[in-house]
Amino acid sequence: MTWKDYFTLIKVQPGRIVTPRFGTLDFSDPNLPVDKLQALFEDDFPYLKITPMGMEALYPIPPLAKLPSKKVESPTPARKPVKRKA
Amino acid sequence: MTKFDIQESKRTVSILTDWWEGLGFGMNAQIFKNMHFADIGKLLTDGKNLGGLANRIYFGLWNDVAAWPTDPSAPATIELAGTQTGDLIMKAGKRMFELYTTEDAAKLDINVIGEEAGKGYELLLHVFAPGLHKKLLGFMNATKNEDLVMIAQDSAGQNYLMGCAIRSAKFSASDGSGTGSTTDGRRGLGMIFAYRSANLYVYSGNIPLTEAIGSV
Repeated sequence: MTWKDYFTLIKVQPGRIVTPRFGTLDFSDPNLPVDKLQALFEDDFPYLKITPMGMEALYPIPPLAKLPSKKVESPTPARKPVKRKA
Repeated sequence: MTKFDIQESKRTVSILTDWWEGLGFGMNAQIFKNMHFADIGKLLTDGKNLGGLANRIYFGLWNDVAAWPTDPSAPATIELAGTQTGDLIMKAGKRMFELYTTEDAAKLDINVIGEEAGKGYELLLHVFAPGLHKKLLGFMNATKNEDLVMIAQDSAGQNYLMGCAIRSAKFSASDGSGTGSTTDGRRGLGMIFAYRSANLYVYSGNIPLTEAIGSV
């Protein structure tokens, strides 16, 4: 697994980018640490796009808690008294 | 009942907008009126405050820039008033480049220019590239009359962008270029680049040293 499984480099060729947070990073290197790239991604770094696999691994959605199904009983509306013709 | 006419309403808004924009050149004082001033103490992170610039400066052609970072507009704090947001984005096939400069030989001067009510700044970037390599001479030849964009990084890691959508950085003068007169003299190219700006900002974006692809 490399960072390329989690992120895709966009808008530029693979190569060096000087970042204010981590200095110069060489995006042609497959061994860049994922946590650094995740921090850049969260800082709105314009050259990274997250992959579906990255989304699943780094931002997992917790499964929805299953609520016990409860039968709601609504009271039956009272019948209107039918007026009978005399 | 009076009917609301959206076209008429839009027209009124446009007229007001034009008026404010027209007046905008003299509105700096009004714009900064919204700012919350604050006390300013000793602003050193962990006591760090080394002078000078990093060993590398970054340059590119002004014409190769596709999009510029945004200057603050009606900033709410004085910190925001000194920060640009967004990135310098290059046109497809273009990139920024790196230039090595000798330790303790590069500096950024910030000078105030203009007269009362028309003051601005001139940034002067001094660089010394050691040696008289053909590449360096070629760099000087190619940039001496060009419109440039430059980024200097100080020892605290803060970046300063020289160039904006309407104005470029220019090769201004040679500063100690040549062979030196003694064997312990300095052989190389000393260059000064100048850029004039209405305000001073820290550039907080990235510097792409790799070619841009596709349309931005």
